[in-house]
Amino acid sequence: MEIFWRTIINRTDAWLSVYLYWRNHDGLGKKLKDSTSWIVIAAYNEGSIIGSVVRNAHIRFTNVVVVDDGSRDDTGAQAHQAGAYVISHPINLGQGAALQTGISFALSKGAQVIITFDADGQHDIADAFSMACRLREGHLDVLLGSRFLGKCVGIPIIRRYFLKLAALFTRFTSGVKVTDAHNGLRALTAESAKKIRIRQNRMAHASEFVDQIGHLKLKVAEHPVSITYSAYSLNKGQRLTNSLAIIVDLFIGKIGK
Amino acid sequence: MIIQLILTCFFLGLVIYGLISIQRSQAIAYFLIALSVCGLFFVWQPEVANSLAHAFGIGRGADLLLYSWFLVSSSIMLLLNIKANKLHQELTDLARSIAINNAKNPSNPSDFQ
Repeated sequence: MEIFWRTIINRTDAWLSVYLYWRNHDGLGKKLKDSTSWIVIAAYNEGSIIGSVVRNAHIRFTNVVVVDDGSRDDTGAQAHQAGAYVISHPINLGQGAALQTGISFALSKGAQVIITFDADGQHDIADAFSMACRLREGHLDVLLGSRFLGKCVGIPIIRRYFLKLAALFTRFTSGVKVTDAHNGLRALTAESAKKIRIRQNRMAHASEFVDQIGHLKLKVAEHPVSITYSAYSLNKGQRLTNSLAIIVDLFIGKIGK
Repeated sequence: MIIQLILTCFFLGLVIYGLISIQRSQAIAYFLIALSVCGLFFVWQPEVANSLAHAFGIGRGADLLLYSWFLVSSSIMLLLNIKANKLHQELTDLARSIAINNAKNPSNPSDFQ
């Protein structure tokens, strides 16, 4: 009996591999590139890594735009050299503002699918590609990456529990069932990108994004993604003490409407 | 007596500022003038402040004025914060427009087709 089930599982894995290979390669075995989806990367002082992130993104995507958010190093130049469209903010406005700039630019260039991607190298471009493919099936408006449904390598325990708490808070305030509310890997169709408007310039934009999805009643799902933490990305990441500032920003934002 | 004169000069100054600002923002000007007139009244009639305080369950008129001032200044700070957010949003929209107009195309687009 055990041999029977092992055979079934092995054959299923084999067929799944064949299907994934067929979906991701053309007849000559060359990896397919997505030319109608746009990768949007918000970057601030990422000169040491942005080049490799852009080159990695170009393996699967033709169109990559990097929004240089007033960096003091050569982030813009490195991104341009790596082959990305580069938009440079004259002053530092925040990640939320940079993402909205990139989304607006991608829409002006006729993007059909827009994928936000972090600049610190912790995301896997294969996840972005599979999210774009899944969106093209037409059943969903937005896909949110979730490290807790996928894989999370090197995450400190405190951060893991803090992120789960943040997801609970977002579920409560937005009504959208999420397991990972602060994941920078998101995919949205052009129609939903036109409806969403990120007004929170700083880190509160992640919660605002989910709030707007709930408010606009967009069809949303989560997608398992891999996040690999490195010493570099941990150093650049959000401080846990920023959480209070995020809550205050969200509160002021709601009153100011 | 000295503090009453100092406070009177301060509140009269606020009234004059309110009158000058009427054309710019009527609501804020009238609010400022009303606040200053109340302040002037309580400076010269402190026993009225005491009676009012007792009605609110507070021991002294000065304490009532202190609590009221706390509420008013907190509200003003919140409104200023909202105003600052709106200005920041306008600045963001302006910076975004400038940045997009100056976007750089990829250095070698054919390499990435």
